[in-house]
Amino acid sequence: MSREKLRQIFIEEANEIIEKMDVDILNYEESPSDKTLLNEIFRGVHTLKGSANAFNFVRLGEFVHHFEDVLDFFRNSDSIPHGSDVDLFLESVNVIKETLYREVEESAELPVEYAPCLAKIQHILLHVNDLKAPEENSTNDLALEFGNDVFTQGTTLCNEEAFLSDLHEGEMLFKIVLKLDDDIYLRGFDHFLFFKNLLHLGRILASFWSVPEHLDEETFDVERNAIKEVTLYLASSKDEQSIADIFAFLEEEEFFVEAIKAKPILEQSAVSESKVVPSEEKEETKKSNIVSKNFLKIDALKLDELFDSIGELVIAQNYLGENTKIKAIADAEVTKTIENLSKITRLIQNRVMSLRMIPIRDTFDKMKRVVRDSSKKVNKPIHLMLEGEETEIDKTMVEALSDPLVHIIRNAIDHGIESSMEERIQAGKSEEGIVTLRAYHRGGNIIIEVKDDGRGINKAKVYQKALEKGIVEKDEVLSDAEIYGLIMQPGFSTADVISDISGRGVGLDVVKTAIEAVRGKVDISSEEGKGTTFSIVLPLTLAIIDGMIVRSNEKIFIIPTLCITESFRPQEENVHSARGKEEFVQLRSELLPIVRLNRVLELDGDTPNPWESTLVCIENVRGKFALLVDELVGRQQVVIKTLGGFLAKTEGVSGGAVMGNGEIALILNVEELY
Amino acid sequence: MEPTKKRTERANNRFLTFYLEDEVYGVHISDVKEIIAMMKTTPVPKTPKFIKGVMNLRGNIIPVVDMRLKFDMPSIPPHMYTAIVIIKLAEKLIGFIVDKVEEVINVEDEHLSLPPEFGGHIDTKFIKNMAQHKQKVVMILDLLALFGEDELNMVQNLSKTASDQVKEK
Repeated sequence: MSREKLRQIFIEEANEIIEKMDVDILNYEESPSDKTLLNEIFRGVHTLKGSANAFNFVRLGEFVHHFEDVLDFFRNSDSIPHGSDVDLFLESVNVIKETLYREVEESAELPVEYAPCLAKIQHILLHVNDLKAPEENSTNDLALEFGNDVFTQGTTLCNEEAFLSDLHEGEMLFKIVLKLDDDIYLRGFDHFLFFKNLLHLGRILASFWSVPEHLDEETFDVERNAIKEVTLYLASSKDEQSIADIFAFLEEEEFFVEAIKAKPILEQSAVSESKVVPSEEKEETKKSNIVSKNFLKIDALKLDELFDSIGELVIAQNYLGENTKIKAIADAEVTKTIENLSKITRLIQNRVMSLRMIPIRDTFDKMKRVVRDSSKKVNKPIHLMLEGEETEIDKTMVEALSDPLVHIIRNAIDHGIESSMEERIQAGKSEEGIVTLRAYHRGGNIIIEVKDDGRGINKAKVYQKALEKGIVEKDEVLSDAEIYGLIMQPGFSTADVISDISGRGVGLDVVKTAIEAVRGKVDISSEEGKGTTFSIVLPLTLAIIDGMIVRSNEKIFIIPTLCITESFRPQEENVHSARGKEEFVQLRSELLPIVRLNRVLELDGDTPNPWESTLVCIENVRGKFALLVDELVGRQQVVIKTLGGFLAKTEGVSGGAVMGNGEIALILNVEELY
Repeated sequence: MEPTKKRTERANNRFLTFYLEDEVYGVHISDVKEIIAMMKTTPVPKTPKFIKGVMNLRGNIIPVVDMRLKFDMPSIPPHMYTAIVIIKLAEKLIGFIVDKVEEVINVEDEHLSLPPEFGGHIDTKFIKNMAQHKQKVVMILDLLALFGEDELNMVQNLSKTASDQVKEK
């Protein structure tokens, strides 16, 4: 296996680990006493560290190493990380993600947050090491166990750890940095003078001298100081001020004294610990459910190929079953074999389909992070409820679903949930905004709901805004659903203040486009004061749709059942025509335009009376219409194929399906029919 | 190396010939995927007349072009020699209905010439070369030029978006 290939695998694996870490950390935040979960996170980080160093991603390795140390501390101690620590964990995951990206791109830059985040981690580590120093050897057991710990520790940090453990009773560790100007000798000082004076105050544990650059003989001047920087560690029982007094004759920028101590931070964590403890008891019953299953990674492309072949098998099998010559063979053996074959084919089809199906849990878990971040950003406490995470969904659909979900959730938090707690309490709601994510099956579809218990949609405001933007005409009467539909129009935003996370008027229209691209649709229902529900209705899989087969002018067409609301044969007195041309049909209280399929598709043929044909009631983005066809033939699951070549974008047709007899039936694109 | 070179040279000038009425046409052999007997096609509404429809090639749907209609010849009902030549064009398969598939010919470079200006019903932009073969003149087709600019763009866009998608993956 080539190194490039290995690298590719590492990157893939790293992305997986990072994604999992995100989720694990969030779960861990909910049950901070769950050590197994922490171990899980730690294992991920450890693997990442090993491979990062193996691929010479030094910066990533360095960062992950320190992150691992922090996790290791919490893993081995009884103290429980408080909120700000978990924030730091999540921030670290972000930095890791970014750093990995930069490493892969081979970019010299580091993410902006890299240094500050690393500093914060080291800050935690400082007091950590103070605690764990006595039992040093027990902490690295996992590293030994894996045996691939090739990382060399950062010098400063490592030393500080060692020095802290080196302190005697009553002593404190000071880090002193001397940046003496080059005229220092002329002013009557040199480094050793300070060293000598420092020795009166305490013990110098170590000193680090910067190597002078460009030290060639010609420019060397004995009277000038060439040593730019000296760092030394001093153990002393004196306070910071008396040490700084030694350098009283130096310019302020020439020296730097810092007391390195762990005690105050320790106290802080102790306080927070006691804060966390009460909730911890409740959480303890909640067991994390890390179940290790036996997984096999398969290239999605191979799966698609397999799926295609199964499609062909189904078609061939149908052909066999419907072949009149074979049917004419009146032999029990033949009939039985064909029946058997059909059964097996269906079984294989179902199993292959199920290969592509994955539980929606991962997608939902990712949303936890979205909710957390958005809720912090707009400063509204949000409680996220998940329902139906086990619902299975086509793998390709999952990818298409993720971004729209993020948009909808952000929108719900930003616009849906009331801006202040007072407003919520006045409305008799809980302080925390509740956002519910729910997935379930209905008919042949998967429904994913994002529900908030916020303000609901102000219909009048939406209508007013749409008027201003010229999206609707004045005096146009819209149904509730149509008004809600307006908020998914491009360039529409009713937010009074445009916030960082939503409200730029991009978002909801993107949601609509993305969902429609996977043959789904978005429904909105809302009640003012009670909340809003976005329902994403998706077909079970992308490759197979439930189709209504209709006949028009002796040709067979397929209409996706998802867009059909009903079909009927009208009474003659319910059909009206305007200007002798356009026809309408009254269906209960609604007046629907009649669209003749043979006419929109420009097929030749006669125009039968609507009351002698069948009207299929279809709903698309622009509303409802009645499609006139000769008759309904049946309903069938069909495998969607594109028409191929330059026909793929044919108006009114979204694809084709190979029918049982081997012929192709066109699948109608209802958006383009009317 | 000599034989290899010779072989590529020869492959460069190999054409599949077919008839439309009594005219002989040729397409480059490397573009030809397969030749199948005439089969049922499903017409697609709102497409140019010369597009016969789509057909099912072992589970894949591919468009089928009636070459007679494309060349403004009268359409004839399929007979026993009618064939569909499946050609790979801009990474997409397209079927071409022809009257009769003849043979694969080798044409030496010196027997290839640029098409003369035609009067009449054939637009010379479809014709890449004229080849002389056994006292017959074979018109070598430039299949991409068979399609109008819009259709061509569509084909190119399609293959572009397809490769983009692959990249994204």
